[in-house]
Amino acid sequence: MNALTQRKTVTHRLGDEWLMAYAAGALSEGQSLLVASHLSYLDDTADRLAMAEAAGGALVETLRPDIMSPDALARTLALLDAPETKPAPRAAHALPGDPLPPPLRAWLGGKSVDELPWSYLGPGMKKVKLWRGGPNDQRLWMLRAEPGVKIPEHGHSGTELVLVLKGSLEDPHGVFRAGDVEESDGSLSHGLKIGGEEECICLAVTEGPTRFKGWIAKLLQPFIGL
Amino acid sequence: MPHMPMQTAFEIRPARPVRQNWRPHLRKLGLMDRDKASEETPPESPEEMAALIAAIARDADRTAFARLFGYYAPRLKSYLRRMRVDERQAEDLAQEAMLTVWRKAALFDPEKASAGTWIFTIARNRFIDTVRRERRPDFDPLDPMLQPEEARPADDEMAGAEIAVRVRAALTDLPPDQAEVVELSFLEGLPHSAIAERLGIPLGTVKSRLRLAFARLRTALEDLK
Repeated sequence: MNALTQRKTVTHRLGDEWLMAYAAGALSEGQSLLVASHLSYLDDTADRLAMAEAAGGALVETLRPDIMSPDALARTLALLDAPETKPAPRAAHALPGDPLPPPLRAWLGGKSVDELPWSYLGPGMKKVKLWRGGPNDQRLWMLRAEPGVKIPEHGHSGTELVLVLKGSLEDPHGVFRAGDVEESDGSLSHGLKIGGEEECICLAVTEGPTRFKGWIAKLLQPFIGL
Repeated sequence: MPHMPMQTAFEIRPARPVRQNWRPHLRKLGLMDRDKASEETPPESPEEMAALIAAIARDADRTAFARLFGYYAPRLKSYLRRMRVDERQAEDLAQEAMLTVWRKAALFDPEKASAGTWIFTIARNRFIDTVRRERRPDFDPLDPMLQPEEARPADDEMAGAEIAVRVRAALTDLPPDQAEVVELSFLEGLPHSAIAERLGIPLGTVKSRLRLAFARLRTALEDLK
């Protein structure tokens, strides 16, 4: 199943404050990519994004105009006929059968999920690290887990966002399927269980290193690198 | 489904203070660099601004471009300065954004956005690309996933302008605590955590204020569907 057939089934939406921050350009690259990917599953995104961006437009219009240099217009006019130097990047479409939503696929340069450099994370789990940066030491990564795998209880210093791309996962708040986002606060330590029916692929943004509870998980900590 | 359940918990709020009371308060926080003159004489109408972009797309109309530039370039520079871009780069980026307006005029869709909203998104993306040096994941407007379910009625041609007018009015009516977080998001580009730190309020409060503000925008636009 691809994102197109699953857009109706999203039951765990991110709060509108994420849409506002995305529209404002206030999110880091990693969070922005996760939010854009989540929004691509929802059928009212175009309208809601237009509303939020209209707030930006209205605010900019009411700012006190700054002083432009005297030749600003003349210089810009002189450039109007110059050819454009770099071509606009092409956005990618969903590929049938591939679980990557279009914003993520475009960001990955058109790669499919099987072309990513997956590496061992733990029993039945693989990871691929995609990006690190932004405020609060954010990390963007993907998880690919076999059916029924339990992810041990863990916590972070800040917000954790997990977007399900394929399969399902369960936490104490419910079951999350493709398009759903699990948002958790750093103060909460939580475990996750992968649904038994098929493998699960997720995109996650976490803040600060992931810390696992339990001595086996702690022993593995240095090798996880997330 | 819209994100409505949140609202009930926050329903009880003090009566909205009159504008004269909250504006100085926001100005003190450095949040309201508003142009008094432009409030008294409202800016050119959104319809007129959209027509200027259409003239650029249709006739490569330089006079139309000069008028758009005169209105938007100084405001974009102001916006970029608020985003902590230095004077020189803000000047360059404002000019580059206007150059993009010229080049992409044919892609402007007055049904989706007003001129001001579209130009804001161009400047915002330029800022992310050039200053923050990050790639902004964006949507392909032609992606079938993002097309509205049903075709819009034909008399809905300038919906973008109508949205802009109503959103502007709704923003003016926001309670000061919500207006503050919206401005810090859009005009300073601050993430939720930085707003919480700046205002000395919990992260959850920043988020709920932004949600409430968005709910008000939605309400203001409800009957447009």
